[in-house]
Amino acid sequence: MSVGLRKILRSREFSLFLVLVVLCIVIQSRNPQFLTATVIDSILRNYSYTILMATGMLMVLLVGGIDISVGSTLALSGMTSALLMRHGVIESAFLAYMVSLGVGILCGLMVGLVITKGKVLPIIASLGFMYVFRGMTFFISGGQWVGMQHLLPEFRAFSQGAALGISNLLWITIVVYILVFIMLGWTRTGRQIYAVGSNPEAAMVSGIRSDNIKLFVYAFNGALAGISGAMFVGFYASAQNNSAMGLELDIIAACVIGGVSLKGGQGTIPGVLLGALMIAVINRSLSLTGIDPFWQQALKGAVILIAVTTNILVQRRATRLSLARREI
Amino acid sequence: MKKIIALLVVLMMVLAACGPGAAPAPAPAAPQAPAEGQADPAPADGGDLTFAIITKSAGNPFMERMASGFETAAAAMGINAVVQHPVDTTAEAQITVINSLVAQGVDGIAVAANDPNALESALQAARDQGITIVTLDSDTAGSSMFVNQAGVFEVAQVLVDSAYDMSGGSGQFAVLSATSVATNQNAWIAAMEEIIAGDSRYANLEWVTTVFGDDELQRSFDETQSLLINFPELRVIVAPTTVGIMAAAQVVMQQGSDVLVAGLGLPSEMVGLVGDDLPCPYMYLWNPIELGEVAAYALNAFKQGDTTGDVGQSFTAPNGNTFTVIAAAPEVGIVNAQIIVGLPFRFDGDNIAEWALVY
Repeated sequence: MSVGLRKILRSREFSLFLVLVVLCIVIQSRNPQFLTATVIDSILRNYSYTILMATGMLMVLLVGGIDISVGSTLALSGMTSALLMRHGVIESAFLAYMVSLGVGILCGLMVGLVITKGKVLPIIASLGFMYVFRGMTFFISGGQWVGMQHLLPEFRAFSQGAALGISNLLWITIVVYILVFIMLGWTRTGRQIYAVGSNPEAAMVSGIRSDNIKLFVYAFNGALAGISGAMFVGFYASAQNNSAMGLELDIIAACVIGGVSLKGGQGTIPGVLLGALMIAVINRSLSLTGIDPFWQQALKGAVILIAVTTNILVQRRATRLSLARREI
Repeated sequence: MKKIIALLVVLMMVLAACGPGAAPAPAPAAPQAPAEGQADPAPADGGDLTFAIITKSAGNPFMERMASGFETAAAAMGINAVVQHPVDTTAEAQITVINSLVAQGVDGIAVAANDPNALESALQAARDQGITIVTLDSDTAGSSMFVNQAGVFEVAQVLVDSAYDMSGGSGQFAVLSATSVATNQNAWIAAMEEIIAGDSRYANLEWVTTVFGDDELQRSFDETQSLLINFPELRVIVAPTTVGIMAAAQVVMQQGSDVLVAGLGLPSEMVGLVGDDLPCPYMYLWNPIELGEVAAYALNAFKQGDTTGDVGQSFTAPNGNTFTVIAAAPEVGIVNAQIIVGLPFRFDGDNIAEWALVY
């Protein structure tokens, strides 16, 4: 067996992949329609923004932070471009996406500034902004929804459309995954993100400006939430004030399942991708299993716990093995 | 430098908050502030009656239509009508309005309560002055009667009939509800079961399942897609919730399915989804104009001695409809004896565009 293959088989990602495969087999056995193009397409479509936003959260968690305001950021940025479309200010799909992106970046910068300059704990700072951004969404919309009739047909068509058999929303997600994967692995900023999270003192001593790195990470996370706002509104053809409430928990769960440490410094893009796919499959498929709706939430929690526990056990074993090898 | 950037960012956020907010948010300033009402006392002289309606807030199109229905019906009966919008959507603002109306000596007040309890003492004080109080849209303690736009049985009846009609009288239908604990939806679903069980006309309808979309777009999308996969023979999805019906119709349209969608929906959200050859041929919701009218009729019935608000009594309104007082339903927040306005209002391809401007 080659070293590369062994490395893959022993990795956390591989154990997670196995859990995902088992989950899919179980669902498939309960509903033979599960592994069909229609369902797989709907999983990736309905959860494209959840999967996308998990990369932003990965980076935030890597620097030892957390951001629970992303659901509100999504709602605010989506509502902003929806309202501008209703008032005829935005007249192209591209502009709508850019406005949402801009609002998302601003939201992320706000969170980042309060955390880095104000020295507020990330969970508290983002908790505050979760309410602030949600409140602003209600305020700018006057508590009303923006319906399908007020959204540009071009904007809806793009968000619901597909190219080469893959939905446009998934294309956005794929491009972002590739970019972040390259950035984290092979750029200076990417390595500094890991450094800031895994050993803040060493990072400081080696001259890394951790505040700038953190600010960048929160802004980037906000940007992804912002673009997700446009994706959400375009896909569902409706901007609502209470959109995506609680989405942050799914996203954090996706990261944790994917092996990202909440203490910072640990986590990979393939892991997060698998974790996000796991969340998408669980959410989408529970209703396909024919299980009583009252049980579905408990079941979702159980599956998450099983995934995380398996992951931790495998990791512990891997660490022990590598330590043992070192002693020899 | 960093501080300047930080300041700029904060400033931009503040501007962003104010910018778009100014345009779409309905101006909180009421077209008729309470103070204005005081300047217009219109006291009852002789047989002249004055009725007032208190809405939940200004700038809400549903409330505006409700008030206009009230005014029209009052005018037709030769009664003066006063429309009062509280300055904001709170019980406190409504109490201020109630007190000023008591001072003016109006004869009857119809109020869409902003709080289930907080208005009680203000309303009691008004009743002590001989003012008749009815509630509409949302009930509150202290009123003599609730004018109910959504009788549980009436809503369930139109939902069952939609399923019957859209399926062609037989076949499978499913219900996509809000949350599993939503009081209104559960009451409607229970009443639907009773109606179907109690009438052989519906014997060929097969109610395959009830699923819960939690009034979230993502969940409702997932559940609708699963319904389409799990029940290939499905003919109709009944969604008695505004988020559910929108999501179900979107999915059906995006997937090009021939399942039809029925239920309760907001016209402004459903333009492009309701009409012939669209996923939802027609849907229902309350008619705010009729709601306001019936509230005016109810106040007049009290004043004319046609009713005292006791359960079992009935009175006939000038429009020829007869209303019977039925018991309160505290489990759905109705604490007073109530009358039911009528069947929910039907929106279809012919009127949806017009109603989308209303709410």
